Amino acid sequence: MRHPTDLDTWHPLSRKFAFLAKPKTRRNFIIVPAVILLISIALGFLAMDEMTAKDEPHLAPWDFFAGWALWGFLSYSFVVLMAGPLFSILARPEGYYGEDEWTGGIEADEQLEPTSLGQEELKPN
Amino acid sequence: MDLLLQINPGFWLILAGLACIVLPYQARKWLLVSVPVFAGFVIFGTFQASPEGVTTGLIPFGENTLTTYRLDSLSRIWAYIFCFAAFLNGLYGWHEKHKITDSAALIYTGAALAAVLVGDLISLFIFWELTVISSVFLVWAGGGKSYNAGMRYMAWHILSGVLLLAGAIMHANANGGDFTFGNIGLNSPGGWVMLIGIGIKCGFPFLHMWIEDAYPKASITGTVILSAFTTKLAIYTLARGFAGTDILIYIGALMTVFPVFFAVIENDLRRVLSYSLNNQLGFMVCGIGIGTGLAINGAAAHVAAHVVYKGLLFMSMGAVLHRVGTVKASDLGGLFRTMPYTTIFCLIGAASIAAFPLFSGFVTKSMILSAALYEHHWIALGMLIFASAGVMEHSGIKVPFFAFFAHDSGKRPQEAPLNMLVAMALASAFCIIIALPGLYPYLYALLPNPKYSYSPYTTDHVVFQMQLLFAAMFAFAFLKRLHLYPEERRREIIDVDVLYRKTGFGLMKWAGAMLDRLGARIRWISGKASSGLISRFFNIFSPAGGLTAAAPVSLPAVLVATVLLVVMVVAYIT
Repeated sequence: MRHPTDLDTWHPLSRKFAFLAKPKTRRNFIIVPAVILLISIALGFLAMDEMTAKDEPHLAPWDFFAGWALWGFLSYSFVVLMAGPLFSILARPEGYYGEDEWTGGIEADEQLEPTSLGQEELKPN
Repeated sequence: MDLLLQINPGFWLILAGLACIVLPYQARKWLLVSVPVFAGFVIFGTFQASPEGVTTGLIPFGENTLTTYRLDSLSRIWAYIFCFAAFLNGLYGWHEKHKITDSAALIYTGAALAAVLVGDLISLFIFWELTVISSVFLVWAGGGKSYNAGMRYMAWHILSGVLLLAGAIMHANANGGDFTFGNIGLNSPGGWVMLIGIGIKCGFPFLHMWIEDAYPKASITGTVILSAFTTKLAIYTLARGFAGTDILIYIGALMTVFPVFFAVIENDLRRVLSYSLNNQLGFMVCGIGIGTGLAINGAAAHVAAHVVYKGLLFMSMGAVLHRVGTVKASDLGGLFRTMPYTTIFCLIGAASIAAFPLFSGFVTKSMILSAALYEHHWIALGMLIFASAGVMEHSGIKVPFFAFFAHDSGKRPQEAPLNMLVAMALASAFCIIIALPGLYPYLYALLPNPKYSYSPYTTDHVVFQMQLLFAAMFAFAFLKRLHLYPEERRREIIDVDVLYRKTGFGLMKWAGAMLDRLGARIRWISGKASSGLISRFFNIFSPAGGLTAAAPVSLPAVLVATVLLVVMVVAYIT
C-alpha cells in the first residue's frame, strides 16, 4: 500500500495541471509572454500596413508597429516599481484604525489551517 | 397584461424583498432567482409592445407628476443587466440562510432597477435613498468591523442623496419647476450640486473611499451584490444627465489611473478588486464625458460587461473566503490544487476585465478607447491605455496569481459549493458569449445608439491590444525574476479616508474632550457665582441678615413693594 502524497489531496482536475506547480514551469514561464509578445510585435507591421492602406484618419502618437507593446511594458513596470516608495508612505500596521479584524461575517467557513501534507511540501527538499 | 406592463418592474423585486422577511428559506431562495427573471420578462414584454419605449405610471405629486416607469433605449440595457445580475446573485447566495440579507438584497436590487426606470428626479431620489437603506444591511452582514464601515457607507450615501435632492430642487427652480429627469448639464448651480452628489456614488477621486472601505468588509454574497448596482446606477444618472460634459473626461481618466497604484500595494484581494472597480468606473465616466454616440454606447456596454465580470471576480474571491476564511494575498497561494473550477472562473473574469480578445471587456472597452481616439483626446487616451496596463496588473495578474498560484500556502480547501460554481459558470459563459465574433452584435443591438456601427475585431485593435497585455505580462515575469515585484505583506494601506477615520476622528475626540472640560469649567464658575450671590443675598435680606440688623423691618418691605410696583408698571405698559 503506497503512502498518501500531497498529490492525493488535489482535485482530480487539478492533477492534470500539476506541471503548473513545478519550479521549472515557474522559472520558464517568462518564455510564454515573451514569444507571444514577439509575434504580436511582428504582426504590428501588418497592422500598420493595413492602417496605411486604409488611410486611417485617426492615429495616436503611439500607433506604430510596437507602440502598444512599449506603452504596456513601461506602464506596467512604472506601476510595479512605484509600489516600493508608495508602500513606505502609505502602509501602516494592521489594526491602525483600531477596528476589529474581519471575522468572516455570517457565512464563512472556519479559518482553514494548512494541511500537514501541504506543510510538508513547503519544506525545502 | 397591459396593467402589468405599466408598473415599474423594480416594484416587484421590492415587494418580493418585503415578503422575504416572513417567508421560509426555500421560498426566499426561489423568489431571489425567479423575481429578477420575471422582471426581465416584463421589460422584454414592454419593449415588444412598445419598441419606442414607454413613459407611464404617472402619479400626481403636488404641482408635479411623478413618472414611475420610463423605459427607453438608454435605460433598457441597465434594466436587463440588473435583472441578470440579480439572478446570478440569487444563485450565488443560495446557501446563505440569513433572512435579512435575502430581504435586503431583493429590496436593494429592486430599488436600483426602479431608479433606472423612473422619469423624474423626485422618484429618482426616493429610490436612490432606498438603495442605501437596504444595502447597508449587506455591509453589516459582514460582522466585526463592518459595523463602522456600514455607518460610514451610509453617511456618504445619505450625503449623496441630500446633494442630489438639493441639486434637483435648484435645477427645477431654474427650469420653471420641471423635475423631469433628462439632460441636466452644468449650466445651473443645481447641476453642479447634483454632479457632486452623483460623484460620491460614482467614486470620483477623493469621494471614492466608501467603496474600498465598505465592499471588502461586507458579507461574502453582500460584496457580490453591492458590486453590481450602486455605482452602475450612478453611471446611469451621469449618462442620462451629464452626457458630453467635458470635465467628466478628465475625472474619468483620473479615476482609471489612481486606483492602480493603491491596488498594487494592497494585500486584501477583495480590496484590490474594489480599487479595480473604481478604475473600471473611470472608463465609463470618461466615455460619458466624451459624449459621442460611440462613447455612450461604449460606456453602456462596459457597464453590462463590468457588472458580470466584476461580479465573477468577487464571486471567486468570495468562494476563497468562504472556504479558506481569508483573502489576504500574503496568506493565500496554490489554491488551484483543490479549487480548479473556481480558478478557471477567476481566470475568465481576469481575462475579461483585462480585455483580452474573445472576452467581454475587449468588445466594450475598445469602444471607449476608440471614441477617445476619434475625438483626439490624446491625454485622456494615454491615461486610459496606461490604466489598461494597470488593470492587467491588479485584476489580470495579481488576484488570480496570488490566490491560486504563486507559492503553495499549504492550504487545501474544498472546491466552492455547487450553487457558487453554477453562478460563476453562468457569469463566465456570459463573459465569453457576448465577446464572440458573430455574437457581440446582439449586445450592441441593445445599446442606446444602435445605429453606430463598430467593429472591435479589426487587425489593429486585436494586435495592439495583444501587444499591450503580453508586454504587461512579460514585464510581470521579468520583474519577478529580478525580484523587483513587491512581496505581499500584511499591512493597512491608508487612503484619503485617513482624513476622517484618523485625523478627523482624532480632532473630534479632542474637540469632545475640550467641550467636556469647558462644560465642567462653566458649571464650576456658574456654581461658584450663583452660590456666592445667594449667600450674599442671604447675608443681606435674611431675618438674621445685615439689612435686618442695621435697618427696621419696614425698609425691606418698602423695597419689595417698590420692586413689585415697578414690575406691574412695566407689565401694564408692555
